[in-house]
Amino acid sequence: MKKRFWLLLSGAAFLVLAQQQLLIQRPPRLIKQTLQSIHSGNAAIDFQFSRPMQRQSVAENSRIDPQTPHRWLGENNPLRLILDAKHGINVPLRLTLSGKDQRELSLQKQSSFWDPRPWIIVSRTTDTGEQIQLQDRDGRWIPISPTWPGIQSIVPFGNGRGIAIVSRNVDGDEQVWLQRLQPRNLTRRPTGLGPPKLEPLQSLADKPFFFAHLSSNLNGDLLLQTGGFSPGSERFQLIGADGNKRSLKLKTSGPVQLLPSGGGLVVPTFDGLSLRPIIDNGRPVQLLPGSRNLGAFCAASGRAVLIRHWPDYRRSIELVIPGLSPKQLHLGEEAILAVSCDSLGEHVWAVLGGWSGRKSEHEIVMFDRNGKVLKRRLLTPWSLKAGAPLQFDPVTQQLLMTIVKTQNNDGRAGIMDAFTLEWRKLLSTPISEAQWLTAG
Amino acid sequence: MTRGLLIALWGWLLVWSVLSRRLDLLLRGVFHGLVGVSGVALIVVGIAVMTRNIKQREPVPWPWLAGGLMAILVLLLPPNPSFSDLAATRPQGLPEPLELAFVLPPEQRTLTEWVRLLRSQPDPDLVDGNPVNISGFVLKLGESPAQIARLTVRCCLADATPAGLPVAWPKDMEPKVNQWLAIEGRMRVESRDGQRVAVVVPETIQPIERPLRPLEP
Repeated sequence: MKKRFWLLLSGAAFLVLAQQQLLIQRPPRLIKQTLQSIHSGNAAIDFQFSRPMQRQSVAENSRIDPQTPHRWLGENNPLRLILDAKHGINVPLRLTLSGKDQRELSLQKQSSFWDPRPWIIVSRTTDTGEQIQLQDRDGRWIPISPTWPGIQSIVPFGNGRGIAIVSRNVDGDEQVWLQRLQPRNLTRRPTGLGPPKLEPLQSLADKPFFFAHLSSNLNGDLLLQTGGFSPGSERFQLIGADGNKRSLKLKTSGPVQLLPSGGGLVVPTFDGLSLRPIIDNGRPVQLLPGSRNLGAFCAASGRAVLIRHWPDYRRSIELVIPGLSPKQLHLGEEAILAVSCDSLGEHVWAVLGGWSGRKSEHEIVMFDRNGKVLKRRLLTPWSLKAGAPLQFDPVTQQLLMTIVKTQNNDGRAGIMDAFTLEWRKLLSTPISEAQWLTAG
Repeated sequence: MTRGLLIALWGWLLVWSVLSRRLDLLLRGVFHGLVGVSGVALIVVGIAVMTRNIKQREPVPWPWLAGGLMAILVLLLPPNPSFSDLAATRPQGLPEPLELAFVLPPEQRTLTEWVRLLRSQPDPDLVDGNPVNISGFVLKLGESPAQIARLTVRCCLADATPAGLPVAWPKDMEPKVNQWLAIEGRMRVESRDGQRVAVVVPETIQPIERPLRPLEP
């Protein structure tokens, strides 16, 4: 009996030792690579390894083809790769990952294929109604929604994993839909890159609304703000990236926006804009008084561009940097039709509308963070479509807008170099509205 | 009788630690009530033992007397721990935050919230120029430059984890290890050991008393 006991005990000890030696000798592995939406460069990926790595060794032994300026961040695990291409990225990349862990064991070389460029999605009229379509890399249009009598708004998710749509039926009532997508822009197979795959379309409400407003953040959460004809019928529902739903109680005087980095909301009130956390943390709500609208968020840096309306009908563009009072970049009588900014708020773009004799003219202006005009250009013979957004893409360093010719009601997707303000592409397909869909 | 007195003395020690806030140096506030209730329970037990054995003179073993002496010393001598020494021997991993703190105005972020934010989002350019208003003790680990730090705890000192931020100390200042400071300034991105890191650039540095609750959750 005693012998058996010692045998069992030594057997267990041997197993433990063998397992320990096996694990010590085992080289590090790449567990997960995840696209990171919050960064200060063109695009970023987080790499999760099975062991703490030597960042310097990974940085020296890994390669990006074609060569692209980049930096590695993080202590040892996970590590973040941020691309810093000054003139943008216009081709898919091949990443070869290698390096040593902190025990000096080498990671087996492995390749991934990454296309960080966003997709263009548009709403356009077909024979049977309005539809959302995505343009693939060859220029073909792929339908990604059914047709509806009308499409009121499209909100691509900040993580590229879905699109929320407000459609309009023949009676003018609005219905909200969610089209989830599976991005295919980061893969281990060279042939695996491609447009996102569609999942089944979901209806987000069982009855139509008088109005619906949507907002998404970089995590892929969606805020649904709906209302009916009766006062007090306004409802707020937050649908998390994991699909969990929760109701929020908010008092607002307009459309509520989710903060890009998550965790907070910008709520318009009768006397200004308030910034509040989604989960009440007991701290006071931050309020910015004055007649202001939120123009654009500067990605995840916490900075934003506001449009301020003055009592004498002038309008100003303001850059809000956390902890500082808003900085005025522009003040004038021109209409401010759309604004956008880069991820750190170093550059701000605005489309201004003025009059030249009896003709309206739209002009795009690029400001630096101090309000200095760096470049300006008339959009003539085009003008920005009323209500259409101006969107900056950090990957390709391009601006996307929906433009119309005054004598023609059909819109076109116009893509402009963000820093030279030269047109790069004017798509010939007639559309209602164009937006970027982040690759993921 | 003496045993009951010693039990009651330990009970009083626990209650006194809660009342005098000495326990804040050891344990998170949420657990203080539990310690207080245990102290009251020990006092009640001590009184019960005393009343039962009021006329008996039994020999008291020396470990009981040593324990009693220890309790008196703890009551008389205020603790003065070195957080810096403790931090140097603790692992560096911080628990994940419940919510990212980007939504907080930067000047309202505590030192621990800053460290959590920078560990979960290691891109220092995102916070370049943000105002900073933090307090902590001076921590020096080996040969590396002094940081401003706090100890975070889930429960008590046994699981304390240091959270520190690098500081661009003024040239004429030699930060003293363990000294508590309040710093107002800005975040600036600097290259240190070939890595871009967010560094606190102080505009004012104020020596302060150790806060009543030095441990952060």
